[in-house]
Amino acid sequence: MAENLLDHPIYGVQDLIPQKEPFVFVDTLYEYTGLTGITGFEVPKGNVLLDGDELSESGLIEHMAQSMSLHRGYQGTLQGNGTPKTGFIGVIKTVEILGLPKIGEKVKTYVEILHEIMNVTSVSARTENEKGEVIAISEMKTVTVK
Amino acid sequence: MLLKDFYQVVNSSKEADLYISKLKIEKDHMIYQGHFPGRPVTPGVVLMQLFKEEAERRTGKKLRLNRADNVKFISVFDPTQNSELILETTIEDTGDFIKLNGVAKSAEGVVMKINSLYVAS
Repeated sequence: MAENLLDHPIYGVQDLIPQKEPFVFVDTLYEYTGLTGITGFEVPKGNVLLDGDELSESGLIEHMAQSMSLHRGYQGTLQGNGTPKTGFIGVIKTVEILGLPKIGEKVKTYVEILHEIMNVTSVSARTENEKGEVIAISEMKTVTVK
Repeated sequence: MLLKDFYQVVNSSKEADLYISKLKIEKDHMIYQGHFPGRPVTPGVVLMQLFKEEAERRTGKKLRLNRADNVKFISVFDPTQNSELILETTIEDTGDFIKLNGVAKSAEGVVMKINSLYVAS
């Protein structure tokens, strides 16, 4: 296992991802290594992808995708890049939704870069709720553009 | 509709097993301010949500996504260029699951493909 490169978590990650409000689904970077990361998101009241008092499945999937964006964005700052590159989901190979977090609940997501070819990155993600129960798993390919 | 005022169903039909719905997407919707600033791209998860809501309309059930496989986002859907989106789906009720196979198309061609399973919630 590579060592976590963060002394302390980064709260407020808005400048590290290309997505902006009202379409932001990640707020914390807890841990970072070259190939892995742990991110967080507290489901805000008024989020655009709420379904009643819960984050929708789409919101949860977006959180997993933006967790990957955040990993890449932090990597960019380590390499001295300024603005994070725009990236979006190319393929969701598989996603399973086991539960949905409620407003105010904090989820944690473990991302791992599986491989990277040109501008396509394969990544797996696992999201846990506050009790540490796995609520979603996915494997996707994201595409980065200029 | 999860996203307030995001789209309207303009037309809805069925040919053999294929459901066809024509949607008009609101190009000035606020999500495009964040995804991405100055570069409107319909988020993939929002397109996935359109299929879930199509399955809900066709089955008359409130559904929850259980899993999706091989969801392919083939081309960018920018509603400021063309706001019309066509969903073509087959929907099967297995008893335990609602199974959907779908394709979204714009005037420029295929936007995405999806295979998904929902459960009644």
